[in-house]
Amino acid sequence: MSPLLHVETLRIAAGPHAPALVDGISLELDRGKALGLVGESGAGKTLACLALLRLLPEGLHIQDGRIRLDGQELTALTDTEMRRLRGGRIGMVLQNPLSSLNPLMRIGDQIGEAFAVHRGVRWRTALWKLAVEALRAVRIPTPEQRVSAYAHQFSGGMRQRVAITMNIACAPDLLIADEPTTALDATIRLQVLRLLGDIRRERRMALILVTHDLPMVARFCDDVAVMYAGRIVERGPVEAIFANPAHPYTRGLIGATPRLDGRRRLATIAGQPPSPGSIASGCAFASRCDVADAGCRQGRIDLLDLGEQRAAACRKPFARPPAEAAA
Amino acid sequence: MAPDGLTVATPVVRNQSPPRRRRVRLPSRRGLALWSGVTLLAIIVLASVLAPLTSPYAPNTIALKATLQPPSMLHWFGTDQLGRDVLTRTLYGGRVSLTIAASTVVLAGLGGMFIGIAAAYLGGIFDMAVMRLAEVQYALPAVILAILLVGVFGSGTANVVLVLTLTNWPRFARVIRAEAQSLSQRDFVLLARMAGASRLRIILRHIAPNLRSTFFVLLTLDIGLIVTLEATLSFLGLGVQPPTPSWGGMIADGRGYLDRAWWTAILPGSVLMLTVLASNLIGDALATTAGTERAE
Amino acid sequence: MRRLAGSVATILLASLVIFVLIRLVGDPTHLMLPPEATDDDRALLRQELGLDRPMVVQYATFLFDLLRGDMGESFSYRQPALPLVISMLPPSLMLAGAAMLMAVALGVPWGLLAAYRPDGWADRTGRVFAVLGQSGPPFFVGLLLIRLLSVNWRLLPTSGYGDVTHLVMPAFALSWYSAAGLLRLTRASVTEALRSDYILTARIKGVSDRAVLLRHALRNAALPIITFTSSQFGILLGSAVSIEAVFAWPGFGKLIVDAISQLDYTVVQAGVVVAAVLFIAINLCTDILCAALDPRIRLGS
Repeated sequence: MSPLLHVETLRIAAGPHAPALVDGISLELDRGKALGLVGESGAGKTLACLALLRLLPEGLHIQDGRIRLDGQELTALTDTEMRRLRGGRIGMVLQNPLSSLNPLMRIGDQIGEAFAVHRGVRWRTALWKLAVEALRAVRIPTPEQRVSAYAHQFSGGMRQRVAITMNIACAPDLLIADEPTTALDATIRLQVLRLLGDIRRERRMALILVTHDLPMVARFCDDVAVMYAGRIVERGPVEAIFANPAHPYTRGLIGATPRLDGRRRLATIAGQPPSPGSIASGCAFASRCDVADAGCRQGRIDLLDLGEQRAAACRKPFARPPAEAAA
Repeated sequence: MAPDGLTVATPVVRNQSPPRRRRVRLPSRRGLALWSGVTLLAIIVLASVLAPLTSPYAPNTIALKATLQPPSMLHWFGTDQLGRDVLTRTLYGGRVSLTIAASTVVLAGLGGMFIGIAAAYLGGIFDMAVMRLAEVQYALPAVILAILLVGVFGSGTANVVLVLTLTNWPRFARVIRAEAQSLSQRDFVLLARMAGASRLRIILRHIAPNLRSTFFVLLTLDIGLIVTLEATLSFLGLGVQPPTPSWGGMIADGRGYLDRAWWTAILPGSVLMLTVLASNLIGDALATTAGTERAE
Repeated sequence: MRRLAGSVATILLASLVIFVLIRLVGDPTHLMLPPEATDDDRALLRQELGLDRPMVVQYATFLFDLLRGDMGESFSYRQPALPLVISMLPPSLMLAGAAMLMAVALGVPWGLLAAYRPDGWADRTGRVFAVLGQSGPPFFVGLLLIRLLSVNWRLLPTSGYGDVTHLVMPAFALSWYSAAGLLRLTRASVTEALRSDYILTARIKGVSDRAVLLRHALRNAALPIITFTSSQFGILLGSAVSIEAVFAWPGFGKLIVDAISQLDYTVVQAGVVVAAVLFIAINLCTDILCAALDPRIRLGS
């Protein structure tokens, strides 16, 4: 069976000769599966997701690569066709739920807008009825009263649920959630994530969860893809990668995550991620890597198949620095 | 700047990307606007200042044999109903208008800045009174207030400066006061306060220097406005009095000859418009630059 | 409520300023009596007009009469000042209203298009118009229009007060400046709105560009646009003085200017109070309109 989403060598830049902000990433995602897209700020996660919707910020373009949804090539669609796909087959939830809701429109109208666009529903009463049902599905209490309210009358967690509602209203096959819980209180986070998980199971919807919260990925995702400086440096099933990371950067990320048992000291990755275009050749992580040698700073290092559906862009997969290996 | 502008990760970056694109292109456009404004203004100012040296005519010499002559090599801007050379009068009018505008802008600007800072510094009743007075000034049509003041002080060049200063300081005071108040909430002022600096010291050392760029932007943007107001007053016969040439007065004189001798009104008016245009170009360019500086 | 009290204070202060200023301008009895009148004649007239009393008393009387809606009798027209001023309002309001409509009709769509396609043709021409528009004094723009439309092309009557053809040129000359300002403001606010997350969310939902622009961006940009438009009203009323002179339009501005030159105290005072009340009323309407549009103001956050 072909995957639901197939991204091949996607490259995003301001122009053909400008440095790539997303540099040839490839991904596959099956129906009903969840993929965690992790990496530091600036790694290109959000841009890659916006590219799937063809909503890149002004001035940036998809320079190269293919995006296929259910076998359909998205880069070849006309603007109108693409518009029907947005909200219809692909949804996306943004990080900040307050700014992603229009402050001047009633919630019912904002949710209803999706039905108006994709189902051709015209009348406001009908749209609001659909909006009430959609709100009930995300377990918002008294949805009949809530449809006529405005965003500022909701709490943070409720706003994010409303934002999710808007995007899954028309039952998309794929939902992208871009750090959906970063702006929320810790106590609300789990609720929102559970909601996303439930919806995913109920509707057999695929999910891309963009985050830098690794435990969240471990808990809610099937696969993980680690991005660094615009490229995917490691990908594969969650358990395998968390148990034994192949790329030193992944190892560093896992090491930098606080653990409840507190047995290991929190490790940090020294240095800063490089800015686009500043790496002429070799591995972008080489300057911060604890196992890199002269060979890592030359040529182009591509994803290397490691078997068991895993791959990593590293010349020395699974290598450990001498000190740690000895311990 | 560039590396930071290019790191792209969170949705916040979307807000940065259009400016990033503009950052590459705008400086040239902004620079072009700024320099064309500066050049234009410099030409007008120079021509006005040098008029007595370069012009073959006197501004008030009447030549009844050569009235309402169309523009020619002899009279580039033609002659008016009394045979006076329109170009010469336009340049002499420029001397008057620009002097009035410059003096007014400096007086109203300094006065408004002083009052604005004082209002922000003293607060309380003084602040309330100043802001109420500014509000009154907004509620009254500017031209009507100016006409009344001309009635009190009389017309003529010096009085026009006085009247325009009296009607224009509140704009400066308002902006400067708001700016000073927002500055006083900033961290560096809070730090200075915690360090025990006196209020006067904070105003003089920390707040006033940071108002500089706002002040100069307001100043340039106001030149065009003042030139327009002065021309309006003179056009209505309440500003600079004949026979002293002024742009507004010349336009008023030429009004009756629009059908027969358009140049008598339209050409001085065009120079007036170009002057306002030049100062707006400079002011806008400076405002954009100052705005960017503040944002970064 | 506090705003309202502030408004009343503004009106009172404005009337006081004008009251004192007009008395400083000069003594109207010189203009009202023939030159051969004696000082005694003038003193008698001053007494009759109540101008011999101390200024404080005069102002108190003025305020007291104001409460009853009486603003005294015009010195030169010999009729009540307030009805006289109000009777001159319609032509001026018509002119200012038409100018405002033109400014909105020109500036808002143009600014919207400019924001939608930065560096497109609307944006490029808009930039030129914005800087030109704010550089042309209304009375000079009016003269240019007369020369082109009336003298050269003979399309419109040069001046006067009559049907709609008389209104077009003065209204357009008056709207010029505000239209340029509106264009800039609309472009800036729509651009800002277009960069927001809720616009991206709307696009993610599959909403068309047109709906994104009109339903989401323009609506959110509407508040600053409305506030700016109402702030232009005072400026329009002020510029109307010179425009009325250029186009021989019989209005409020001309009445006040004439009254000042004739030292017709009561008409000037009535005019200024009416202008200030209009100004305050427009601000109040703006606040109400903003509250109606923005639930955060209406319902509190």
